[in-house]
Amino acid sequence: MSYKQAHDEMGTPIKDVTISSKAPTSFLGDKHSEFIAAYGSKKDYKYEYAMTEYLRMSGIYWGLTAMDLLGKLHNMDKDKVVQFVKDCQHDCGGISASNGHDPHMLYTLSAVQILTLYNKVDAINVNKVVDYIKGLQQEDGSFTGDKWGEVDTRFSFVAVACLSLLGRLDEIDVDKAMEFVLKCMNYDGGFGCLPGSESHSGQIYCCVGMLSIIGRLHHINADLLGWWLCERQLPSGGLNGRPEKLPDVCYSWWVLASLKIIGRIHWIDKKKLETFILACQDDETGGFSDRPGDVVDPFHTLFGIAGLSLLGSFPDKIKTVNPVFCMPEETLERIRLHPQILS
Amino acid sequence: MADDERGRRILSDLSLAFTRDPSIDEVGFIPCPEALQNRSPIILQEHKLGLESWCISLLYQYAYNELLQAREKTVRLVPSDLIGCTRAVLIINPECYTVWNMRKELVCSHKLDIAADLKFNGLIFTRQPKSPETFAHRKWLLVQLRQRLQETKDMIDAKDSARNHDENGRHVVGNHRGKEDVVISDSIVENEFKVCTLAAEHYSNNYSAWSHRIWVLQNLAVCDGRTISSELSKTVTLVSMHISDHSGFHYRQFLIQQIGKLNQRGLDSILQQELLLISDLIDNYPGHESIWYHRRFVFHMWHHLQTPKQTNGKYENSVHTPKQTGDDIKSTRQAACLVFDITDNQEEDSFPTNPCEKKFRADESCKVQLGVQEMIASEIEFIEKCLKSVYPSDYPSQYRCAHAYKKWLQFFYK
Repeated sequence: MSYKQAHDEMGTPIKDVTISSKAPTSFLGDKHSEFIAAYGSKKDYKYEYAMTEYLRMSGIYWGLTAMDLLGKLHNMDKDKVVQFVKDCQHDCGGISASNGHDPHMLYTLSAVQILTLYNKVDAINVNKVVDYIKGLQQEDGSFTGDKWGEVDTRFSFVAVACLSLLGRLDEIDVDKAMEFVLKCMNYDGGFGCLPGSESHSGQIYCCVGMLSIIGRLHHINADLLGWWLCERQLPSGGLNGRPEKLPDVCYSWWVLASLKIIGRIHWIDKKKLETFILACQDDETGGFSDRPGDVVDPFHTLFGIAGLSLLGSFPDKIKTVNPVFCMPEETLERIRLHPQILS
Repeated sequence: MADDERGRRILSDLSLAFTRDPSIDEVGFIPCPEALQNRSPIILQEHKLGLESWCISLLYQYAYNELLQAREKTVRLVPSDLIGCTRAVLIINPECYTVWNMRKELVCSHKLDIAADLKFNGLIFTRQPKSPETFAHRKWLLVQLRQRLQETKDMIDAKDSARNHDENGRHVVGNHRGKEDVVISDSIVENEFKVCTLAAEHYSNNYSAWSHRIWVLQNLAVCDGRTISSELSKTVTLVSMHISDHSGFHYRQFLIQQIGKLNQRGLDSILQQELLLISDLIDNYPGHESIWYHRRFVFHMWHHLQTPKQTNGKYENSVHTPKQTGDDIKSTRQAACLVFDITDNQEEDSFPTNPCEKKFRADESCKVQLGVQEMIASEIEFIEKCLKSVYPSDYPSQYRCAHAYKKWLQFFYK
């Protein structure tokens, strides 16, 4: 009985996908830039547009970063984007996902990332952004996502990422911020959303990234965490975000980027992961999906391209990505930002 | 314009359904691509609310545009309209955070009752059991509830103390309770646990639901030995029925760590029982990574008990530091497949003994008494038994998990 048959017939299969022999094996860069460029102008789908408007700012960041990594940022309408970001800044300094939505830390970071790509940070009131973020730090060092008070380690990352892009990291209590993040570390070396919460690759990426930006990666047990992260690789080559979940291109990014930051990227099978990521491309429409054969979207398209960049695949077609900020390395070089990376 | 009118009518039907039946306990979409003549797409039967799929986009766009215009102050909506529109949008798209915020504003201005909003919020999980924004709003509501209860209690306390002064002319110490924290009633806490259980059963590995349960324990419940034991016994059935649910097992890990933090002497017997539970589950349901991961945790705690640090006997949530460094691995083993052998590593020549027999129970009964080295040896023995008891080709996943645990033990604890 072959491995595959056993897999299918027995009661306890490994939760994974099978990659079809027809799946793409080469990188379809031109199709991806066409897909992203067309996505922004697809306004006829009014319902879809309204359904996703609550994350519009992040959507633009995903699309533009993907385009920049492909060397096609110039194909996008810079002035329109910058004006949109400007319009989304509120009196409190925070930036919302779109017009008519409320300011939130998540979209404030996306906005700052977009403006950094375009070297246009001065389009918004930077001092007000800094005040907004400062105002969201709590006594225990944690950050809330907005004025309504939800606390999550994601917001700790977002706060320091945003401030460091603006060159204003010294405005918050960095030691306290770190203390809170370390309280969310678990016995397996991973991190959760709050103290006591389960380890989760997305949260791990945020906590590792946060510690990298503030230069305190020595608090991480890199072997223990690296071990857990490597165990996310499944026989298909794809990575999942937590035990017994299916592999997913976006988790492939979060796990891979965390491994890169803690200097353990060589612990996984890079070739198999590359095969998995390439299989998630749609060879007709362009773009990447979460798993082979699913519907593509800009979110997975960015993380597919960024993942391949971290793996060092297709260096002539994809720029080098920074694992902490998920932005082109050259952009961070321009603003002289060098987050800590363990070797 | 025609679409707008249709959207408005569907919205009014939806609002009517909620007025007609205040006990709606489930919401869902009914696949139905086209409108049927003269029939409302909003169907209410036995407290179940169904929305025919053709109406979703019309309803959403109408309600969403109304709300956005209200937000930008180009349209004025009265509170009942705001409640109706936000309800429609959130049933369809609960991640729309701005719309939850609009409900928060209604709660703050006392136009929307906290209990009513908790009920509506809970309804969302029947369709979208893991929605993070829905759980975030729920936490906010619970914090408001706690604050309001606290304010009421402080007011009563202040009155009591004032009365005591008036009647006796001096302060009566015995009656003055001082400013204490309000105790959230058991029924509220129980209801939260119920909401989490429902959401966890609807969607496996539900990170938001299990994190919420932890938050409730930390922020609403009295997190004492009694509550923790009750939660431990309640979740045995849950994890035994959902053996692939790592989030459920993590919740038990959280509970066990709380026992450690309370410095309870019972920790070793809890670990002992947990190990028995795990061995039974591994035996009955071979090849579930969640159970094997849970075993790692129990081993870690147990190892920790045997090698205590000088911290007043209390368990601290410290992470074990391996003696070997990353550099050693780089030089000793080559990178790929370091942890899990992705390539076939199954020993085709080993044969099962008798997979149905409960073979581990006897060996596990006094494990926590063992010293560190014996402990590791006995775990390796357990792994070997597991590997021998099934055909590798029948249970590739059991092989994978057992090997991974063995490597983890050997790397971090030898």
